[in-house]
Amino acid sequence: MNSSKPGVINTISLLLLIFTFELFAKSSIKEFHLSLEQHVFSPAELTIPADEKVKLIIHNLDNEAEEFDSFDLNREKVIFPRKSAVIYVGPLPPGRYEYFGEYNPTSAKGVIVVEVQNAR
Amino acid sequence: MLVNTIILFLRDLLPIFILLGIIAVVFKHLTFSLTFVVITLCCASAGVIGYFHLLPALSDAYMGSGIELSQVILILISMVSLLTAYVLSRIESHSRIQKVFLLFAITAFVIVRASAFIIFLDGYLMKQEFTSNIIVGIALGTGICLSLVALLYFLLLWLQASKLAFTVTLLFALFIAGQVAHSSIILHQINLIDSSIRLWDSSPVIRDASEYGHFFKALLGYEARPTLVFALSYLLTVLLILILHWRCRRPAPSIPMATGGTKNAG
Repeated sequence: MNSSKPGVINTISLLLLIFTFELFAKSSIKEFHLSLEQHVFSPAELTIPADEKVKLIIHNLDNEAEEFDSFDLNREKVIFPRKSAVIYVGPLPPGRYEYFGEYNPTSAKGVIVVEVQNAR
Repeated sequence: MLVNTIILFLRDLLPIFILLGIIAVVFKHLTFSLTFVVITLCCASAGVIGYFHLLPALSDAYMGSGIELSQVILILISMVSLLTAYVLSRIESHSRIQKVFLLFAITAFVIVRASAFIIFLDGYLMKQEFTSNIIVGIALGTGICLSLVALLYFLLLWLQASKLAFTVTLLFALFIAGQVAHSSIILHQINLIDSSIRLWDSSPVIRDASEYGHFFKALLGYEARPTLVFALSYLLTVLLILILHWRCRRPAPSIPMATGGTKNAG
């Protein structure tokens, strides 16, 4: 029984190391903001870096719920009135990725432009 | 507004109709009494209303990941319950236990799917705008879903009676795998898993946003640009269900022999 203790401790240490690494990795994720007002997303075009995971925070300033939906990004999330929602996007190759508000698709729409940044 | 209501109805509620259609065929040996239907309806309705009221609070929970986490948990509860009922139907004939698991499966699935549509409805009914469009949209959506599921139901019944009975099991497995694999996308959205490697892009053939895309997503969990984690979870779930299908078989009834011994039938 005692011989299994170092194994358990090593496993827990490894898990903690991975968890710490995960925490560290997540803290370096860049944040981008979108807001929804009068069923219109702004900015209509948001540029994010290519090949990098980013955190997208969407603020719903309206008094009605909206669903952020994007087939290009494979993301959908309900944003309740006067609340914010967080989704993670990427890493993505350069390109234009359309999104829209599922409940008001004619007015609430925009594009996320993925660009290679700091290219030399 | 009318078109949008139909699209949302199909996206959110068609999977429920498909689940019920598949259950009606796969578990056709069970007799679903009116009491069972009423209990299921009551549980699902109470669950949807309760979950709908919890959603705003859940959206803030767990650093904004509460809704996704609860959705994944409910989908997994639903699919595990469905699979348990199936395994029980293969090994034993405890119809009451099978029905209890089916009740869990249907209730959890309806809670996840219907709550998204209720949020949409709530917004418009509060404003009392486009009410007639919404009513017509719901009527048309219900008609489309019922027609599709009726076709699916009779196709599955025909397959079950033919030499292709295994395809019903395969479709059952693919349906569950699709739901499980889509949970990986939800977990990726909240950064709980990393699955950025995309395996292929079948958008030129069937786009996710198209009618076929919606239908095959509801039926088989179709994804135009699946990630490695999506594909792996899909494949592993199908394999698990098929292994359970082959391993869990009702023992063949023993037939008494003329000499007094027994032998296995078949």
